[in-house]
Parts: sequence; C-alpha cells; structure tokens
Amino acid sequence: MNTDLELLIEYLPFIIPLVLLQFGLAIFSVIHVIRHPHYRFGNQVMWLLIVLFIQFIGPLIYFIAGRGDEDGRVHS
Amino acid sequence: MSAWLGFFKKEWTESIKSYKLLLTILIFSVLGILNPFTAKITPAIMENFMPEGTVLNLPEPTALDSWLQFYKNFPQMGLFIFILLFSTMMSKELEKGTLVILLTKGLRRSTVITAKFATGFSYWTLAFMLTFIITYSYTEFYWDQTIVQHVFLAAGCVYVFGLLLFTITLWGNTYFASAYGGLLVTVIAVITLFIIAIFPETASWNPLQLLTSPPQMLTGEVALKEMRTPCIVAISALFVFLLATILHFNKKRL
Amino acid sequence: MVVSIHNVTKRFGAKEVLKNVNLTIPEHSIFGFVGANGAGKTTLMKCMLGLLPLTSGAITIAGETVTFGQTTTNAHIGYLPDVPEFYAYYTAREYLQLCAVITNIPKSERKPRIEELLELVGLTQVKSPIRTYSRGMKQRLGIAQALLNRPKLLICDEPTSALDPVGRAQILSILQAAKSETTVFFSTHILSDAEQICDRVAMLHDGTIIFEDDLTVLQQQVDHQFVFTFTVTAEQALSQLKETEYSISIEENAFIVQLSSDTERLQFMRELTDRSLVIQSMHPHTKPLEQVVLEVLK
Repeated sequence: MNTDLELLIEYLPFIIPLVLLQFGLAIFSVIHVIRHPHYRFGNQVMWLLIVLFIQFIGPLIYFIAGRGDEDGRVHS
Repeated sequence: MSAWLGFFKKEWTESIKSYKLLLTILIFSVLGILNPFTAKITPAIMENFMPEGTVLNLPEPTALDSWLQFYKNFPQMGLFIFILLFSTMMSKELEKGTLVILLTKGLRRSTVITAKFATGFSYWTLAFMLTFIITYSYTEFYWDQTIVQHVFLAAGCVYVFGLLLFTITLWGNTYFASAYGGLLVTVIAVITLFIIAIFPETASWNPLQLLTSPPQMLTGEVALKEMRTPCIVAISALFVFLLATILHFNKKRL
Repeated sequence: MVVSIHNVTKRFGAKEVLKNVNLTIPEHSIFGFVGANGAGKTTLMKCMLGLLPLTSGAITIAGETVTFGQTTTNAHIGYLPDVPEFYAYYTAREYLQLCAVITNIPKSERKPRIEELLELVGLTQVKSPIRTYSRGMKQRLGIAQALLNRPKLLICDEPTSALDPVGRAQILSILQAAKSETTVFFSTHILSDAEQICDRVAMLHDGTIIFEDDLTVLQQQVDHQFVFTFTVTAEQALSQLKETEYSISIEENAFIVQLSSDTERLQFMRELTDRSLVIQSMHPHTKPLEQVVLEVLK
C-alpha cells in the first residue's frame, strides 16, 4: 500500500491538472448538450453518454461533428 | 488596413463562438501534460504487467523519452485535430454565401484569404506554444534536459510543417469549396510526401523531414544544417499555396 | 446615367442566359426589373457586382467599368441578395459595425449612421443575435447594410417575394424612402409592388430585355379593363352579346372588357340589363406584370 501511495503522490502533478481539465470539459459539454438540443445526428441521450464517458475524445467529437448549426436549426 | 483588422476580428469572434478557442486550449494543454506523463509512467506500467519475479532492467526514463512522446503525439493527434478544426474556414462561408454581402461592400478578396490565414496561423502558434511550454516545463522539472540537443529548433521544424499543412488545407478548401475538399487535398499531399520519401536521396529537401527528423536531432544524429533545405522548401511551398489561394479566390465565381 | 449595360452576353457552358442585354438606369429613380424565375435577373445583377464574369459586353456603374473579381465599382453599390446570409452570432448592430469598418466609413460617423439605419428599418429595439431573426427582419437588415455607405445604386434581388403582406409593405416603404438619396434597381414579379413604387420598368424574358418604359405607359393599357362574371356561364353571356361591338375576351369563365370612359361603362351596363344578364361580380382587372408586358408587346 505504502508504495502505491508514494506512486500516487509522485504522479500528482500530472493527475491533478488532467482530472481538472477532464471534469471541466465534461461538465461544460453536458451543459452545452442540454441547452442546445439540436444535433447534426443522434439524440440527446446518445450525446450525453458520449460526452460523459468517452474521456476527451467524446466532447471533441461532439463539438466538431455533433453540435447543431449556430442558428439552432438542424443541419440538413 | 482597418478593413483587414475588422475582418480578422470577425474571424476571431467566429472561432470563439464556435468553441474553437476553448477546444484548442484544452486539447493542446492535455497533450502537453500527456507527453511527460506517458514517458514517466511507461516503465511502471510495464513492471505491473510483467509476471512476478521477472527481473526487468528497464532504464529510468529520461528527458529524451518525454520529448519522443512529444514528437509522437503532437504531429499525430495535435496536427490532425488542428487541421480538422480549421478545415472548413472557407467552405462554410462559400456554401452559405455569407461573403457575398461583405465583398459587395468593397472588402478586398485578398483580405479574406490573408485574414483567414492569419487566424489559422495564430491558432497554430497558440496550440504549439501551449503543448511545447507545458511539456518543456514538466521535463525541466523531472529530468535533466542537458542531454537533449536543439530542443527549440527541433520543435520549430514540426511547427513549420504544421503551417505548411494548414496552408494546403486552406487552398483545397477554397478551391473545392467543400468541407472535405481541404481534408482530401491535405491527405493526398501528405501521402505524396511519404511516397517521395521512399527515395532516400530526396531526404535532403523533402519537407516531410521536418516531421520525421526531430527525434534524431535531439540525439544529434541529424545535424541542424541538414534541416535547412527542407525548411526553406516548406516555407516556399507555403507561400506558393497561399498565393495560389489568393489568386484563385480573386477570380472565383460567387 | 448611374448604370449602363452595353451588349452584355453571358453563357454558362452552352446555355446562353443573357443575350445582348442593353439597359440604362437614370439617377434617382426606382427601376423595376421584371421577369419569370430563370429569366436571368439574378445573373445580370451578379454580373453588375463583378461576382460573375461576362462572356462579352460591358457594364459601367457611375462611369467606371465593372471588372470580374476585385472591382472598384462596388464602392458605389449597395446589394441585397435574394436570400441575405449574415453571421448568425452577431446582433444587427454588431453586423453593421463590421460592414461600416469594411466599407471605410470614418470612425466618428459610424455610430450615428448605424443608429439612423436601424431606425429606418425598425430594428433599433432588437437586441438578440441574427440567428433568431425572421425572414422579414433579415430582409430589413439586408437593406440597412446595403444603404450603409450611402451607395449611388441600390440593387435588390426579389426583396419582397418571400414575405407576408405586412413585411412586403415595410420593405416597399423603406425602398421608397431610399429613393431620395440613391437609385433603386430591384427585381420582382409582383405587379402591385412595381406599381406602388417604380418609376420605370424593364422586363427580361429568355435573356433579352423585351420591354423598357415608364410605368405610366403600362398602366394605361390595363386601367380600363374590367372583369365580369354572370349567373350564367361566360359562353352563354357572350352568345347573347355577340352583336355588340365591345372587345370582349373570356378568361376562366369571366368576361374581360375594355371600357375606356364612363359613358362606355354605363352603355355596357345597359346592354347587359337589356339582355337580362344578371351580374354576379364586377371588378377592375389586375394581372401579373409579366402578362401585361407580354400583352403590350403583341
């Protein structure tokens, strides 16, 4: 156990910023998915799952490909 | 000049409103952290996966491992995502017709291209600086960096190559006026460079060297002056593509 | 003459969209440009803006020749496309600020000019971004941006065609007001719009200008026509009226009769009564402008 804790402390300078960024992005994306319920494809539940459970890549896919057009219309 | 700045400001507003600034800062910070992190954690993971009792003489990771991760992740993940994010700058406007009003108000056509290029240039610089500075700081903190040579210049090579690729994307995106046009042209360009690289004698000038050589520059296997010609070729090609984009757009039917 | 179009021909591949078009537009007039969809109206407008290259011929605007691509003549023009597209994340005010910077309006004049135009098009109170705008609001913002640099020529491509009657009336009154400081060149296929505000009308048909004249000349041709319907079918009524000398034509079970004076009208009514024809309805004849022009040409 002792070594595990030491290991954790050793990696803390990496883990803290990564976790913060990951959580920040996930929360921001979830809010965006809920407040802009128009997507180029897929539905809200699908995007929520993607954004929450696929770390980093999920939100990225959402903002590049899944987010609806700026004017709120569904992309045709 | 004020028209140029006005349009440049519009490009920035647009990129911020479409979350490009947010995504760029986020992705490239994460990449910056991941490079030294992966270098440091790899031996620990390897040990865990080995059966009990196996004596593994894994060398302690060094600054070189951290930078090797940088040259693996940044061109593959970073450059790819960057090109993806900025691959529809022109086609979006051409498909919707949003430029027509501004052009009939007397906006110079070259302004459109140069302002968009400048925006991509700024973003690529921002992305590069973020990843580089973060990786550099961690590496400096954990390891002795005196063992690697040309840290800044090697990274500069990748930076120049990214700019060239972005300019090619901008040209393709303008020429074909479709979202995939730019990406397709870029993919073809990269494949072409790889095919050229099959012939070893082209290594003296092929811009692809800017992407593949930096790890050897760190260890001193590749001398700095060998990069000069590929770098000049890349920058010249960049200007040729930028000029071609401007000339094509000047005569584009809208 | 603020615009002169000289022998303009435009081909798309083998298809000749404009054939030897000649047109001049006098200053401070409202010039209606009529033609069916696909007649080449938008193509000619785009050529005037340097957005499309000409196959042959020349266009001069305010004395300068239009060149394809980068053209200096655009400094004299305000253009409203048929479907104006804006940056959806801007508000009207922000968008006009961008346009003001691009068209080089001196810094001190920008704000008052923008406010003046927002007032003119009735968007002063709207604070939301353009993505929330209705079709009519976008059209009005389009006019505001077109007038921003006080152009010598305002080109509007079908500004009213997609709007409801209220929106249409708003656009027409804005164009009417704009006449005092600019020349308006707008395309339409609606007679009543042209009638309300135009001074001159030109008609494009199959790529050529087939008619160009003052609107008053046109109106004389239509003004004295009336439409009658009867309790019996139009054919039956006509057979009862056949020895009279009125010029009667039948359209969709109704009479169209040319009655140029009050006496003639009274006389015609008397004829009807004499032949015991009961009138179901009667009203002045209105026709789409294209049809009127076509008839004038016959």
